[in-house]
Amino acid sequence: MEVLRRISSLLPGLVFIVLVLAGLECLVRAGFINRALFPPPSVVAATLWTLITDGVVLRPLGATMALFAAGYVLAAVCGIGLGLLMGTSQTIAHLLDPLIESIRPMPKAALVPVLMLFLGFGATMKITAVVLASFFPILINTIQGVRGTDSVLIATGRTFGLGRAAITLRVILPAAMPFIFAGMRIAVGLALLMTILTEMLAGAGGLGYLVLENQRSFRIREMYAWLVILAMVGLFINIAMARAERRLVPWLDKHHSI
Amino acid sequence: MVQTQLTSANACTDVGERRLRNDEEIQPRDVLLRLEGVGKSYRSNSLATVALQGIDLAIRRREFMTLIGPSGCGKSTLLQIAAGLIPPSTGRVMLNGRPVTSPPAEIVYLFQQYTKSLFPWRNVRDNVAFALERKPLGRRERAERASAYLAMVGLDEFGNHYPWQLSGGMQQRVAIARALAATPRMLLMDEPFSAVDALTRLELQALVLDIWQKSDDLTIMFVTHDVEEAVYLSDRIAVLTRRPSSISRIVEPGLARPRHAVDTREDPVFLRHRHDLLNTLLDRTHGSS
Repeated sequence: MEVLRRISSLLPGLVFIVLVLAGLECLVRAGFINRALFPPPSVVAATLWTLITDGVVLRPLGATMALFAAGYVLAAVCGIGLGLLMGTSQTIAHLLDPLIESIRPMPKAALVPVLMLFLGFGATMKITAVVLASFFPILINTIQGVRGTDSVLIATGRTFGLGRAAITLRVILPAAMPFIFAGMRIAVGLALLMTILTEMLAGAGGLGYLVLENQRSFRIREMYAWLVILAMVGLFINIAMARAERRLVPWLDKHHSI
Repeated sequence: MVQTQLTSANACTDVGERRLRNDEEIQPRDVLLRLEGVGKSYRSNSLATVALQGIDLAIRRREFMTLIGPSGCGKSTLLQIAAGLIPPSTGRVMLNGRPVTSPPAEIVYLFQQYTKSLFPWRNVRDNVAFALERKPLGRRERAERASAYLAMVGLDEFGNHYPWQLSGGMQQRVAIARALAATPRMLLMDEPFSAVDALTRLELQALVLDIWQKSDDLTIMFVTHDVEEAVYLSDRIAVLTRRPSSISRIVEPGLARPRHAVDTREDPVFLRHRHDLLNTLLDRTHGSS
């Protein structure tokens, strides 16, 4: 029943997408849009289909996902870890705050050339760039969540005999989870953006590299096909995040209450 | 020292007598927790506020002691000092003859705000199991014990629910089960039933009295601003004055146990104490406002 209801609520939106594609198809075939720059959606779909059935898609997709995952997970671990330290210790917060606040507003893409100087064009540089792009929202939200933890919750931990470290890990961390998750959802988009950007700037086979490379070689159909794959990657990541959120912070989704 | 802080003449002699009698009656070996000259002051914007001043109070083993006083008089602060959650500015707290400097294992504090005290990321059983996690138990045994404590408060069927799926009264029951699971010798309850409806309050009062009476060694220190609740539950009632608060008198209702939710409240002794205490509290509130 639940599945049926969800499908039926999605249906109008899906039908609308199909209508938009059909409209574009008509406009292109009628000559209102330049075919050389925008091939009919059906042609792109055919190209996409061969990319998938030939298995060509696997290696670039794997390369991009590996880069994204490595950078994002590293950013999450560092962001949450440092956020817990800065949120619970005034001393550490006072020490690090000015440095963090001066790096944070910088558009991280501008740092890629610097990273290239020091780390070259390989995976290390790309992962570092992805970490830089996605680390700050996770850090800031973790600090906020930690500082916002209700004092009653902390006192509860204390009256049951928990020490400082145990309270941080077993009370404050889960209590801050909704905030941390909000930061992680912002960070997902930034991490994916930086992944694609570094692949374009120093690419050797990821999805971002292929989009740019096909455009430069004027293989427009292929370019659009890879763009569609990128869109699906983004969609998949968002769905995975929403599922993880429902599992990790179920108390935010109180519609299931009795 | 206590007498100098009193303003009303008739209360003065009354309190003087009672205090003397209480101090004489309590043998040192009967005392579980002793507050010795406890005071608390806060400093904010260079303004110092004295919340509590010179509180001396001895709580006997297995006693049900209630602190009552006008709102804002620092009852909760005093209870948190007794729990080792906040340090006193002056004086000290002695548990079994040892000074309390951090929350002792023998004492569990039950918060008024059960919605904030239960962990929303743990289901009801795991909330109770939290209190068992410092005991060397296997996973299964811990779950079984948690279920047993849930059964004590009548919630054995709700182990898999989350706290936020339960009503207020049920949530406070979970908090009580969790507190009991830590097997404390002393339970400090801070206005635990003030946020639930009147009927649920009666049920929870009966539940706590029942658990307390059945246990071998449980002392309860209870804070409320509800005079009826205080008289109904307590062996002794300590009345706090307005700020800077100190103990003005200690009342011993001496009602028979087990107490009855309806009959006890109609007992002439109950009514007399209620009358007395209400007068005391209202006088003081009017006197200084």
